Amino acid sequence: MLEVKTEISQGVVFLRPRGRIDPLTVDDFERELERNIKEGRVKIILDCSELEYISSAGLGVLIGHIEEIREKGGDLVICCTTSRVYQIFDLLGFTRIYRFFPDIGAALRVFVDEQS
Amino acid sequence: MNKVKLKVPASYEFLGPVFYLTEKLVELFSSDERALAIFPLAVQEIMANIIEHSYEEKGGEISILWEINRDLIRVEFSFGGKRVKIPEVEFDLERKIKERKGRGLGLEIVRKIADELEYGYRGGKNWWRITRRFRS
Repeated sequence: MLEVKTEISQGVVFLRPRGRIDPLTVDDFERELERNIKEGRVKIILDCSELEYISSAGLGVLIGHIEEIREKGGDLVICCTTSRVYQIFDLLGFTRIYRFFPDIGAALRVFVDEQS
Repeated sequence: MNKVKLKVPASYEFLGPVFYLTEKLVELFSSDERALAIFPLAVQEIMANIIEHSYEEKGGEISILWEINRDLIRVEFSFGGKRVKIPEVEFDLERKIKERKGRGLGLEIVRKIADELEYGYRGGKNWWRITRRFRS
């Protein structure tokens, strides 16, 4: 199962999926991501600290939306501390294309520094 | 080899249970942390592919056989539906991002995790077999 919490702070969206992102739950995750993009919130931190795993369905959502996010002047950065989830991202080369951070503070600083 | 055999509905609701059973088996027989982290996902991706492409999400049954010892794990799927076809397309993440298309990632995950990957058709059934050797 999946629960996606969204928090907004300092103009940055924190997306916090809890559980697993697979074909059964991916629509909930994509809907929440799309809602934020549609409402113009494109500085996004994906906090994977409570994510058990992400399958190709979830990775496909990230691929499908990153260009639009960057075109709108934002970015989606990934805060990933759990080994399993990071290894899946790394396996497909996401760690070369997306910015990864070990903790929320470091991820947030990227956006705050860009604003100042 | 130790064997576990199950017949499960071709439904996305069973992806989770199959994932966690695979994880538990790897944990029981091996201390290979990388295999533990990624192999269950490969198994799940094959099952999701079967549900989507062979059964076209209309339901059916999948027989799954896990074989495991201290050296390797092998998982074989046997199922009906449409014949398996695997496109031989080179994976290019940058191109997929430019095209905004996230399809085809599942097979790439499977290819990257498997030491051996076979599939075919016999006796009116499709089959997939994935093998991963444990590293110490």
